[in-house]
Amino acid sequence: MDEDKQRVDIHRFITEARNGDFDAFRHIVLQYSNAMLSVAFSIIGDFHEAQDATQEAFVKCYRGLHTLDDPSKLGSWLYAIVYRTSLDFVKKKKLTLPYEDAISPSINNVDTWLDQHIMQETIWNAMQSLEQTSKMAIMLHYLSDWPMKEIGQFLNISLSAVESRIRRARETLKRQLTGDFEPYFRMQRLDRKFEQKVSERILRSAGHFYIPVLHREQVLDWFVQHFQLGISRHGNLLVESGHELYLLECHTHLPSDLPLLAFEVSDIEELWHKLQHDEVKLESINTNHFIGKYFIFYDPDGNSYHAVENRRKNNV
Amino acid sequence: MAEKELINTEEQQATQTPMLKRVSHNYLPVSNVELASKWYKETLGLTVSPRGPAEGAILVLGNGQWLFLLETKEKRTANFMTDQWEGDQYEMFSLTFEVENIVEVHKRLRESGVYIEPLSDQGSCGLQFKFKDPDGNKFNVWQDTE
Repeated sequence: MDEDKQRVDIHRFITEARNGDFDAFRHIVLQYSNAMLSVAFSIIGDFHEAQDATQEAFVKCYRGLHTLDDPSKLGSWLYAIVYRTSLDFVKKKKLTLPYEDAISPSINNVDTWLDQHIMQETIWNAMQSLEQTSKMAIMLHYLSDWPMKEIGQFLNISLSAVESRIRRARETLKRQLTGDFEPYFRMQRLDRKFEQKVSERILRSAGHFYIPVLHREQVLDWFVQHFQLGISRHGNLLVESGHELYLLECHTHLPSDLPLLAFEVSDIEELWHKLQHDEVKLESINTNHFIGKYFIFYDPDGNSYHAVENRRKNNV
Repeated sequence: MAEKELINTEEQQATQTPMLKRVSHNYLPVSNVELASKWYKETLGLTVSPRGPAEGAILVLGNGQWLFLLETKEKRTANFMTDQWEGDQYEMFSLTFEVENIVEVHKRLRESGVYIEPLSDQGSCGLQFKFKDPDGNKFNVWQDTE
C-alpha cells in the first residue's frame, strides 16, 4: 500500500473517529491490533492475557481519543497505552493469581490447549535472552504485516536497528527452538473478529429491564413462586446473571402482542412441564431458526415472554 | 419489609437457583428494520448479525445479549406510562444500557439528532442519561463510576 496514502487515511480515521464516526475507530483497531498484541505479549508472555490487555487498551484509546492532539503521534500514543496496560496486567496477575489459574483452558479442547500452552511456554523461555525491544520487534515481525520501517516507527527505533534486531532475534529463536515455531506465531494473529469484540465492549450490555404491570406485588410473587427468582436489595426481581427486573405499575395496561423479554433457561422441557403443572398460561414448545427452541408464557397481567434454550455466545 | 420477611428472602436466595438464567434478548418495535439497524450500527456501534431474519434484525451487544428489532405496521414503542418512576405519568424506558464511556456515547447520540436528555451525575449511582431511538423507543444509559 502506498505509504503516503496510508498516512492520509489514518489521519482521516482519527479525525472522523473523534467526530463520533465509529467505523473510523474500527479501522484504527483493525490496523493496529496485531502491533498492540505484539507489545502486550512481549510484556505478559501469554497470548490469552495479551489479547485481553490489547482489548482493554483499545477501550482506553477510544475514551481518550480526544486527548490525542497530533494524529501523527497515534502510533506512539497507542504504544504507550498498551505498554502501561500490559504492565498493569502483570502486576495484577502477580498479586491475585498463581500463574496456572490465570489461564484456564476451555473445557472442550484441553488437549489442544495443553499443546498450545507448552508451545507458548517454550517460546517464551527462548525469548528471555532477548531485550524487550527485540522481543517486541520480532513479535511485530511475525504478527503484523507491517514493513520494517513502520515497525521501527512504532517502536521508535531506526530502520537499521529494527532490521538487525529482528535478524538477531530470529537467529536466537531458531537456535533455541527445534521444530517449526513460526506458524505458531502466525496463528495468534488477530483478525476482524477481535475488532468486533472491541467494538461490542464499547456498548457493553443491557443491565436493567422494566416491565409494565397492573399489580406489582402479585406479579412479583408470581415470578418468585414459579421461577424462584431472587429479590435484590432494592426490592426488584433478580435473574441468575444478577440483572434486575423492575416491575412498575400502570393505570391501564394493554399487554403488547410482542413479547417483552426472552429469558435463557437451562432446561426448556423441564421448565415447560413445571409451568404446565403450575397452571401458568403458556404455549407449546416451538423451534425458531434464530432463537432455537422456545416457548411463550404469560404473567398474570398478560405480558408475554419467551423462554429460550441456552445458546452459545457466538452462534450468530 | 419486616425482619422476618427479609430473612425468608435471604434463605430463599441461598437455597434456590433462579430458573431464568439471564435475559437473552429484548424485542423492540421499529417502523423500518433496515433503517433502524443502520442507525443502531452507526450510532451505537452495535454489530448487526448477518444471519438475521427477514422480518427483523438481530443486534449484538457486548455481552452476547441481543436486541431483536421487529418491524410493526402501526406505530408503537416499547415505552409505557407509569407513576412509579419520576412523577405522574412518566414515559418509562424499557431497558438500561450499561456503557464504559458514557460521555462519548452521549456525544455521538447528540450529534445523530435524536431526542436526548442531558447527562446527569447521580452521585454513587453513576452517570445517566435518557434518549429515544428514531422510532421513539426510550432508553436509559448508565455508567458505573465506582
